[in-house]
Amino acid sequence: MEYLNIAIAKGRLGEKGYEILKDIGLGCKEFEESSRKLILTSEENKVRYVLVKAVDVPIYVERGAVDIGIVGKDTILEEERDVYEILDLGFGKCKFSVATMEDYKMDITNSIKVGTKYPNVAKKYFLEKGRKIEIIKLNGSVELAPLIGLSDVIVDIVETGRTLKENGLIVTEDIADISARIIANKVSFKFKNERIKDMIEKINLKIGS
Amino acid sequence: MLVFQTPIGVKDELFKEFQTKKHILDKVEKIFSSFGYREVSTPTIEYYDIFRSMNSTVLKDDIFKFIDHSGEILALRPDATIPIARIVANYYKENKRNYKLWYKTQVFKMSSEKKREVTQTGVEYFGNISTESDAEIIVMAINSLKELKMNFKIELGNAGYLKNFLKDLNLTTQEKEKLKEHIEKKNLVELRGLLKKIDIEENIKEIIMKIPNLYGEVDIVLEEARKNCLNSDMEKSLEETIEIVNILKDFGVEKYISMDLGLINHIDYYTGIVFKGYVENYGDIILSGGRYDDLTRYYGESIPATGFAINVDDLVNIIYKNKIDVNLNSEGIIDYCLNYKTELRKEAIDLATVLRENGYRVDLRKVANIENITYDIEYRKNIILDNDKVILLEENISLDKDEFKKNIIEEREI
Repeated sequence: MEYLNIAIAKGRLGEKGYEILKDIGLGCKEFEESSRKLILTSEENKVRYVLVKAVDVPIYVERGAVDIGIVGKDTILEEERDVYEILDLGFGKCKFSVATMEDYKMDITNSIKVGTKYPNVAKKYFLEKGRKIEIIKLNGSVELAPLIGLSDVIVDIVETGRTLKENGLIVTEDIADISARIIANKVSFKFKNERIKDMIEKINLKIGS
Repeated sequence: MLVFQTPIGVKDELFKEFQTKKHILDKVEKIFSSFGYREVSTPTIEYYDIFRSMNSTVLKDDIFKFIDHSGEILALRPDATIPIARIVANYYKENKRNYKLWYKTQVFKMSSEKKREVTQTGVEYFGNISTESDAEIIVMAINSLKELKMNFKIELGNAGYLKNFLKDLNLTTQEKEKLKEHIEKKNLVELRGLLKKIDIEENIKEIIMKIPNLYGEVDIVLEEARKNCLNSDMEKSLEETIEIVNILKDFGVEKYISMDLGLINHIDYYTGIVFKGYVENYGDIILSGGRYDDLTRYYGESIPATGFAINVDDLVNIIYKNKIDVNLNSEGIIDYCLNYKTELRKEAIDLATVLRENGYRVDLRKVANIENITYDIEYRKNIILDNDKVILLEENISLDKDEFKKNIIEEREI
């Protein structure tokens, strides 16, 4: 049997995704040991995990460097790669939302300044709504932008809304639901279909969807 | 040191890499011409309008554009099929017959991260609406990959199946686009979510949920697909697919094909059978094709058409990556390096001519003296012309010049 190659990101989402895969027989001892290795192999279960940055998971999958990947829907939407999106793992749930200061009034005649870590998602959303925008790409502390007048609104991931609230921001629009997903390379999906299909079935049974 | 670089997305090809590419093109040329296809060549520069006005497989933003003296917008050919369709439409007006054509060409796309210049080769069959012509195209695709020793699969779909399904549904264009997107991505989760929000009958929703899973073994998928036909046009698309599969069985190539009725990208361009080629352990689709009967309408002629294109650069990569032995027939290796001194120039030229006429590749090299010549591994043989003698450096022997010539001619005759 050939190896199933899986791209996974270190961190909460990756660990939780791994737990599910381990439960269905895709465990890998090396993964559980702490080391600096980036490629972790289980001879026994014929599986190979590749540790990459979360935002890089989609491109590893699209180019066929790995067969499947575990990644948040937020990254999938932002990266827009040509892959199959085969499973919703049902955890890491949150939303893409538009948020702004409570007293902000939208001026539809002018373009809106949007602060975000996700320029593609923001662009696409406002384009569909037919609104003119100017993107300000930020790399963190996005909530800050409207507070000090850098942007009018922000587009960001909202889980509980606590950070927004504490900074005096409110959600005005929801863009999309987010959770952890499994994506697959289109060619691998066909050549390793039995293994991937088997994996999908077992995970569905486990998480009960 | 100053290095002159090529722009992003293009590259030089030489020596072994280029030989590999040539080898691929030679192999497929033999197959294409053995099926009675003739080669055509179209200009690199075309009017931008011919690519703009149609739902082609090219994104308009990705076309390299520039402006002529007269203000006309020109484009670097981003697609190989459209220019051929333009030619055929012109000829077809006068002469309504079949046109079986093939090409090898470069196409250009202004992509920021993928290659901008790609070598494609492929065939186009105009004027024939029969399922036999579709099957012929698919067989040529299979034979090409077989000939190149690829471990591949050809996957068939039918653009008509889903098109005819969607046309009867009372949905907005936006909803249809979303449906297509989720089906294309085999995204059952989002598809289910979308269907919840859409007002159509439950049994139709069930069928839609099945479409992404209509892939795998040909006969099983076709059987399953038959249960999900909503109208006679869908049935027609399905019958057509079955007929093509039957012809492929007559050709004895069924073991290379599988089915995916959820295969729908470029669904606006294709009208009937569609297919894609994959190679094991290579993440990209390397070959795609299908029936596109509507394309020539833009030129005022409605000519049935079917064809496919192979991405040659991908094949070169695969041959390198999987270390496929392509036996380059020692192309690229030069047979003889013939060293001589100025005084013997005429004799050296005569000797080189004899070698060349007998099919050897010869490099003439003038040297100041013949004493310290070491052999160069770029050549199969290094020889020195020394008055009436020819010294063979590798063997470390010296032969009479006329005897050497005689040997060469005899060798060739064997």
